[in-house]
Amino acid sequence: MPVLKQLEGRIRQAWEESRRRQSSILSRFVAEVERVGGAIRDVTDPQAVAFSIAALAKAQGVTFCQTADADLATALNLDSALAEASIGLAAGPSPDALLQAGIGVTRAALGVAETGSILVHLDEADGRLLSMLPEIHVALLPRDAVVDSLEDGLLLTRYLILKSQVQGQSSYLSWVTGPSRTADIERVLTIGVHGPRELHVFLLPATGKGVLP
Amino acid sequence: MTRQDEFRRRAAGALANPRIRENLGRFGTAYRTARKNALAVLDYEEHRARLRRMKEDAIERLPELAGQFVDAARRVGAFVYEAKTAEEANRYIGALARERGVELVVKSKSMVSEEIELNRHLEQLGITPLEADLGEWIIQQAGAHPSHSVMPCIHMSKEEVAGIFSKALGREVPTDIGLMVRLAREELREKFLSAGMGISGANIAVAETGTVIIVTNEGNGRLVTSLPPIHVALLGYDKLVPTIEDATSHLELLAKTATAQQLTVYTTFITGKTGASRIPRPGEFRGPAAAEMHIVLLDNGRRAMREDPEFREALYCIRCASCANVCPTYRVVGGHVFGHIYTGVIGTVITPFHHGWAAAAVPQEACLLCRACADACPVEIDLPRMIVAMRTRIVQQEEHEKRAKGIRRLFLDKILPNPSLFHLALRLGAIAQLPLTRGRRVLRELPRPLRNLTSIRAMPAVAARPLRSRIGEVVPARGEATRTVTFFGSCLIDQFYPEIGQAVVKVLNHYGVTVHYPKAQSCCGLPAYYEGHRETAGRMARALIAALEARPGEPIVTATPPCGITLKQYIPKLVKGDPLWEGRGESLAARTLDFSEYLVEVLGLGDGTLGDATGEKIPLAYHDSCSALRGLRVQEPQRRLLRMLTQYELRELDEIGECCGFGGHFSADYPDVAGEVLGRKIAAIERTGARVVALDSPGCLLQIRGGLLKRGSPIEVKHIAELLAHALP
Repeated sequence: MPVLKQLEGRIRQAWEESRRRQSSILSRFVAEVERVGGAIRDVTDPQAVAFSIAALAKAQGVTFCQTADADLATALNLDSALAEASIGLAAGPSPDALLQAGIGVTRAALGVAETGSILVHLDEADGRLLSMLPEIHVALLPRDAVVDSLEDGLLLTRYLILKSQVQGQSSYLSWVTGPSRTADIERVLTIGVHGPRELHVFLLPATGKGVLP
Repeated sequence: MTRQDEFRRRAAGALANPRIRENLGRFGTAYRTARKNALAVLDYEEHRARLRRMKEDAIERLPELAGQFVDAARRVGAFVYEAKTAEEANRYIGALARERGVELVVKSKSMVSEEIELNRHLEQLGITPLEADLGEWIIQQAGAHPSHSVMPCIHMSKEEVAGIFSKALGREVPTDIGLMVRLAREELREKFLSAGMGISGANIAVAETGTVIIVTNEGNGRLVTSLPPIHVALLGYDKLVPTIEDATSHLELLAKTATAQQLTVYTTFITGKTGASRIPRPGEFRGPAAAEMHIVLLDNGRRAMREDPEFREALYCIRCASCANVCPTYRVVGGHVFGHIYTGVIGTVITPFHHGWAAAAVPQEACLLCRACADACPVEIDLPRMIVAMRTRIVQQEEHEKRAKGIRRLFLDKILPNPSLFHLALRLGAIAQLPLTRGRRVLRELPRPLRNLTSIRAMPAVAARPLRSRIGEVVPARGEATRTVTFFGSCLIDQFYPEIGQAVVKVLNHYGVTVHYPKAQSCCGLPAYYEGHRETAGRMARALIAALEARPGEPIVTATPPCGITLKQYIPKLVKGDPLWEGRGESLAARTLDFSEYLVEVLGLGDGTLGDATGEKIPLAYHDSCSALRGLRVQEPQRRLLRMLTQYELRELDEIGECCGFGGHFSADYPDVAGEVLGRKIAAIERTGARVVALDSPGCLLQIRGGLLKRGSPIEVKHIAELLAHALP
């Protein structure tokens, strides 16, 4: 499809550009995630992710974590790290456990430095509910999947949606910018209404695959 | 009851509740700064222009985009229903819920569902609709309507909200906002799981992919569209855009202008139906197992708006509510008075198309025509123009139905446009006032039926000798004349403040300008135009063109900015399309300059000093008139002139550009509302510590000087021409 080809070309160009300025983009991203009330952690060793999650769970008194992504759990050795800390884990689709999880772990497909946003692209309802129902959402984002501007982010969003759409596939994507909030009562900012009270973004080592799926 | 009486009645209700103006006043002040900071990170004007172009294009191509959207959404399994009316939309959603056995519906914020009164329809069918947005839930529990499109219960106190919580949850809930938010989370979590259907609105609909984009902060939008098996997205055709990329400036500006965030917490893109959650449901759950997505595209007056050249641009609105947040009267009366179901300025402008002209006639009275909304609009929608267009149609309708009010109509259509009658009436006034003024220039109290004029401020007496009796048609420059101007005096200067006119002439003469003052000039027609008496305004426009065109090419100077706008902007519009007058109207507009603008831009004043004061400088505050600041875009020349004065030290007011509440007929018709606006202005003046207020418009002078006098304040108020004239050697 010519539109998709053209979008791919523009995305590659944007990615090349952002790779050149990666360190400044990343530092802006970190600052913006924090400014919107998210926590961000730079993890150089993938094996450290599981321990960080375990430590977070312990600190917050969480006894049960869930990720819908079994491969991710295996790759990160989540099971053993959490077991060691006596924290339960459901890895893979398990809708029955959705309401028990104190921490939901998902991948994030992209980040936008300008706004400190991450893209949660999970078409499966029970997978994405892990970024909505638990009090704490942990999002794992490869450090080379951060683009500079919202404009670039929306270019990618368009591409991802259109690519599925032309094949007749539905999709559900959310740009998440900090934890859930409201100011409906007397304009007082309150964190954690219907969505997570805490958002933790873990920056993982670069995959080298770029931002195109 | 006339619409004016009805507005007074409603406004009195809002004024009786100080909470409304406290909350909105405080928010409005904080909003200005927060919004400015949020917008500082990007090139606002560039994005604003881009957004405007995008919306113009999208509405122009609406039929094509709608077709594309419907096809694209169906390709990914969504059902799309195109509803012509509110009834059709309600019937579709109600029937769907019944067929699928749904008993409980959870909703995220949707103003369109308010527009069609969907909740009422569902309740009639025995289906329970539950609002999930915290503000909307509070409003629903209170049995009320949102007073603001972004912050539904901004008019309530936390104590009131705690009362609503206690009643809804059947136990005592303390006034603790954090706790209330937790309780709402728990209470609604259960409901999300039990509901068979979720209804959302949409901020944007993307034609290319059939995507609906929903922005929320609380996260209820994502739950409403993920937990119940059926998702219904209800939206108007005005939300269509070609591609997701076209929505960039929309998303960049929406959060920044609505809530001063860089981006809302959740910006969600839903394209077609995705699989249903298999989460365990409570016993009360009633609904299907399989997922469905339905999109209801609503017309309900939108196509008519699109085909109406005067109102088409109202469809460009992105619902940020900036126009309400900056509106001086909205900040006093709130959205239950300034609005019908849709609130604030844009809400009132679109009301005729969704809910009929009768529903819009009263709320539109709240507009002062200060233009703050047009400046704040991220899509550059000319809201004040549309308010005037509404008034014009309302007046035509009233004329047609013979409901026009006698005295108002007599004054605007018969006396004002007739110079001999108008001036005779004022001369009679000058005599009739004698027992009240006893020679003074100020009237502190007027008797009935004019008492409204002096309830919040003192009024100036009608001048014993108007300007037209004080100066001749030619007033030669001092020394050798280097230039000539035509002076348009305005009724306020001519009949109430001739000393300002004399000061203008003195300053101009001093700088070598001979002043022509054609005595055939009378009122410019602004009162008739603003109140919707367009035919009268058109007649007056032609009379004024004729009166001022004896010296073509000569600049026309005015020291009354609202009239300056009439000459520069309204008169050309009023005579447009009339081959005899169109060109003459344009040349009148091209010749017209504000007094300060003329001194600085043409005469080159503005540097150096004026006066020989050496002592301590007197603090002086400058009040921008809405008309000069936002109508004529003249803001710097006045300040440059004032800085020349050796006697004064210029201080800036907080919230520069806030209206003083004069608004011509507004402060006479609705003194209580205008008085609150004036009170805020006076407080801002007092905060500067100024002893003198300078301004450039006799209307603001009447209001602010009268207000200070009424309060017994020693602060003096002067037109800039008077201060300059006084400092001349």
